[in-house]
Amino acid sequence: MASRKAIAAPFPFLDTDARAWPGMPELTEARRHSLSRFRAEALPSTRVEAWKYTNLAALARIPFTAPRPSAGDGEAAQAAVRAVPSDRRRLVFVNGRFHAASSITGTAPQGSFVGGLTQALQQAPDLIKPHLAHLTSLDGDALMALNTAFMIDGAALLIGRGQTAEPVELIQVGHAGEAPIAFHPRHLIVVEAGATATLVETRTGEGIYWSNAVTTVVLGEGATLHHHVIQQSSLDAFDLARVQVIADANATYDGSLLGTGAALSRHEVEGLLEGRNVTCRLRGAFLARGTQIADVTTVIDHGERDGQSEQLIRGVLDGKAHGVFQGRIVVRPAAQKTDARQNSNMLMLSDGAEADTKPELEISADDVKCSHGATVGELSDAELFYLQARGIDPDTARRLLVSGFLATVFETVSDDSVRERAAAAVEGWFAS
Amino acid sequence: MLKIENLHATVDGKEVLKGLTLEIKAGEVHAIMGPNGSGKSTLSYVLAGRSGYEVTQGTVIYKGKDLLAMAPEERAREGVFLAFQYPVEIPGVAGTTFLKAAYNAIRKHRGEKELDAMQFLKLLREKQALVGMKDDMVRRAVNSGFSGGEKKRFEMLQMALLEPSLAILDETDSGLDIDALRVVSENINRLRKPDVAMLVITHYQRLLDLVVPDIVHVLAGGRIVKTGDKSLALELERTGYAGIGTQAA
Repeated sequence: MASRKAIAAPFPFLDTDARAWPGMPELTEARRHSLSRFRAEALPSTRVEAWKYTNLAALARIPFTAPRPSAGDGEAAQAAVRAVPSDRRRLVFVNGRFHAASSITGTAPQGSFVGGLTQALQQAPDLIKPHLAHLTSLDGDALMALNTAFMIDGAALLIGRGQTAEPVELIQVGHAGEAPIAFHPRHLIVVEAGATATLVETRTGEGIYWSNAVTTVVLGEGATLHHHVIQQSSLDAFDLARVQVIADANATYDGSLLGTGAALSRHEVEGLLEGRNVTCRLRGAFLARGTQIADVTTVIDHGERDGQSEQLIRGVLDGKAHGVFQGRIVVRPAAQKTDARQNSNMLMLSDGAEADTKPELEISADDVKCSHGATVGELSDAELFYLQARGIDPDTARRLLVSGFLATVFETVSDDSVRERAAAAVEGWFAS
Repeated sequence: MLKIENLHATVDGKEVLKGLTLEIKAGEVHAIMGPNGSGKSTLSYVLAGRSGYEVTQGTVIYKGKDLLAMAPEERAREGVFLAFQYPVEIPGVAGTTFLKAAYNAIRKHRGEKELDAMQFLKLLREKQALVGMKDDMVRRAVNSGFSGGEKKRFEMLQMALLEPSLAILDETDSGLDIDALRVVSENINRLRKPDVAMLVITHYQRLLDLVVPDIVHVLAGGRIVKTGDKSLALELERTGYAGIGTQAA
């Protein structure tokens, strides 16, 4: 505990002892183990390589408590729903808890389930049980252990073999009153063999809260998940989100992130490409200003041959914001003919902003194509002048160039509404 | 329309324009020819207001106003248009978005109502027809992946749309095939009106066969060393710059 690799984090909510999970002794057991593990390890400090650039010290100082349902939750949920321009099925969560009244789950076909995780454990235990190990796993770091210890709910999206599911909106609202709160959403997304699903996540909120989310994505053979995240959390919030993708042969994980919110955000994707010929596409774009910290961390682990991974991460940093991209590509000995590409570009709008990028390649196969490129730059004078020479004022010109810089990230997103919402979020950032 | 007097300008601390004097009246087309490094592009950038091009002496009066005191976007809104020798690629910004922003900025400056998306696209289609640019080209990111000829056509589309009163064409003809050259010259000639002035910077006579200038200047060593009518361009074609005493500069 006295290790310099740890930050002591005596959060009040730790004393609301990890609950037993009725009817799920495995879960109850996992929670107990995870809690004692977090108590022993505490939060990672910047001495831990994976957290080298993102300091959780400010988080550790806040007396987070567990959220309690409050009268304003319904209104907060409704406001968030109204802000999402979509009439798709939706799962709405307030402070990590499923808000059934605001959600529209529709009827899922035989072998599928769309709803809350707690609900799924009660209503569709046969669908969940094969994947229970993902919820009870004791792997992962201290934050993951904390999530396991305190998770109460999350989205459950289980798409049966060969089905093409209608897109689902996952709307998450943080709603803190006077006291800072912490919650630990745990989402389980299973797309069985040959099935296709689309999940669009929106995160918004008010007040000081900490969302410590874990999403497990399990892709069967030939399955496809389009997973888009628009993170517009409260500017006082800590938004830590880890996505674990476990992909079987010929599966596709097609992900994107657009982040403008949170005092400190970390979007972490761990892709375990276990089968042959898996495609993994990660796109990330964030805008940060003031003293915001925005971190995108990825690990793409090619375990089998013929896999493709493509990553394009772009950050726009103004004020004294700090942008981080850490991208690790692992190619195992069996993963011949892997084609892995990674690019990150940081655009600095001020002298006070800071960017750290750390690409890492660990290649243990000899017949592979791997490339990475990282740039940190400013807006081009030539481009600015070209726009000004057509009558466009410098502020509008900068806005156009920044929007264009980020729009490029979403060019390959097939869902029009996601591209439009990403563009609107960028516009919103400029307007705020 | 435009009156340049004793203009001195430096780039990276090096003096490139060394006392250039030139007057263009409304309705006139002037051609500027000159060897590489004579200051042709510097002149166009100074007139458009690019940073890094520092005027150390002299004046430029445009429509009775001090052009050098204006920001680049103000110059454009007042009707100055530079057709770039090397149009800039702007990744991720759709041509239509860019053109609408430019067009409406100029309309707003004139106190006119900005066009909505539908009205603008209708107008743009008409202008596209003039330069032979299809919808998919203008929807793409500005100049991204365009060929040299396509970039110049896009410059001409912008000029047709923005209808400037002073058009400066910086080697718009360079690197063009005969079809693109025809499009460029047609668009320049279409803009030729009693209330519009033009400055055509070129290396070659061939554009001037299609856009016949009223006055031809030879720029060398940062100054106008000779001025004449269209026959001067033909003389240059025969004798080269050496033959007309540019060495004296």
